[in-house]
Amino acid sequence: MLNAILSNIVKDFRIEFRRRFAVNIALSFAAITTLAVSLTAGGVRLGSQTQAMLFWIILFFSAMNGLAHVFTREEEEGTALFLRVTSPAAAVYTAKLAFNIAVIFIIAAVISPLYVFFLNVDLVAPSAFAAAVCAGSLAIASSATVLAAIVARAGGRGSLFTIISFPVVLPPLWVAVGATRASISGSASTEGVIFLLAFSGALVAVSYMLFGHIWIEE
Amino acid sequence: MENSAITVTAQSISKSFGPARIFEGISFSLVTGESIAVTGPNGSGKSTLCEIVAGIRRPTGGSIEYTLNRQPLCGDGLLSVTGIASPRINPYEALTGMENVEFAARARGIDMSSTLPLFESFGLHRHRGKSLRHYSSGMRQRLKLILAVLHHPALLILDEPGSNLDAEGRRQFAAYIDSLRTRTAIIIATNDMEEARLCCGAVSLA
Repeated sequence: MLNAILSNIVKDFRIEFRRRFAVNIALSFAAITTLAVSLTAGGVRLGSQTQAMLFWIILFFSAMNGLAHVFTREEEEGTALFLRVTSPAAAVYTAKLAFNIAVIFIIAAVISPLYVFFLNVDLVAPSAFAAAVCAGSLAIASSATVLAAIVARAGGRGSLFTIISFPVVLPPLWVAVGATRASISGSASTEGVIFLLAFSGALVAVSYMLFGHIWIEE
Repeated sequence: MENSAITVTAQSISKSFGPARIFEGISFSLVTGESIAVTGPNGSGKSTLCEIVAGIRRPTGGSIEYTLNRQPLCGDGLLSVTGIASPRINPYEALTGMENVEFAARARGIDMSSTLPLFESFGLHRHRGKSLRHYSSGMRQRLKLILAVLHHPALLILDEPGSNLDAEGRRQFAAYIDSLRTRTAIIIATNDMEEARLCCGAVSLA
């Protein structure tokens, strides 16, 4: 199983490195929207709630295309069956989840300093901000991975994925906005981060158990 | 897997896509050392039957039982002893032939050095470092056959194995099948009578 997981992770990164689709599109979108928000704000310092809200909206929509791509690419290019005959379903799920976590962490690592710089965000508790971003990103990646598999199996594409994933991602997004606002305003607490980690853990456990049913063809 | 004895017993398999019934009442049994040709006109469900037997598609009705060395086999265990090549199973275009084999071999826990002779057996040795974008359809077919046999499967399922192969490729393929015959159960879905003659039994889909 470990061999299959590692082999899938290496393969996904190798293909992504050659095509740079997921990360390139997401980073371009993130950079443009961050600059657009900064320019439209016109130098006015936004409130901590607005800053947190805008940050997560940018991160969510930037990540969506890249996160869905990990499964839609397999279906579109006809490689999904190759993957099915080569690797156990649990290995495929674990590898895709690891890839999506890496992608969203890369996007978050690029967006966060850009956002803090261009929107003049005063981070009172930088470590709490980093924890909120990491936990929120983990929650989005774990939701997005299983939803991407469902959408890809249903023959759907990126636009359908964003619509379907929104209600699932809304609760952790809400909590992530709250945790980020708290870290910006200096009233950081660990409750939000714990909720996000618990949400991710529960979702990954359920997805891991159900993935075999999603993955096998009818 | 090389000395494993597999049995496959299919009973009354049927497959429908929505209201469209593709086939029904397909029964056969197969053991190591035997081979079956699945024949039938286009759209009769040969590829679908192959995918069902390989365990990557669910039948609508009926059942298939597998045993390996008399022990029941299912799920990931079936995956590890089955090899399948089909027009619907495509390797990764962004990778080279070698990288595709490396991916499949590592996923199955196989030593890469044992896969190199396969490139020579299927005449793909000189092209193994090329991206699949630069492969001809015949070279892709050879790669698909390598990917199907690299883990020495006890059950080998080949859907239209000779498609796009030139005369030399067909000869290499036939020679390789001959070398596997005593230690593998083989299913070949084909409309090519020459390929069907490689098998000792037949299932005909109307």
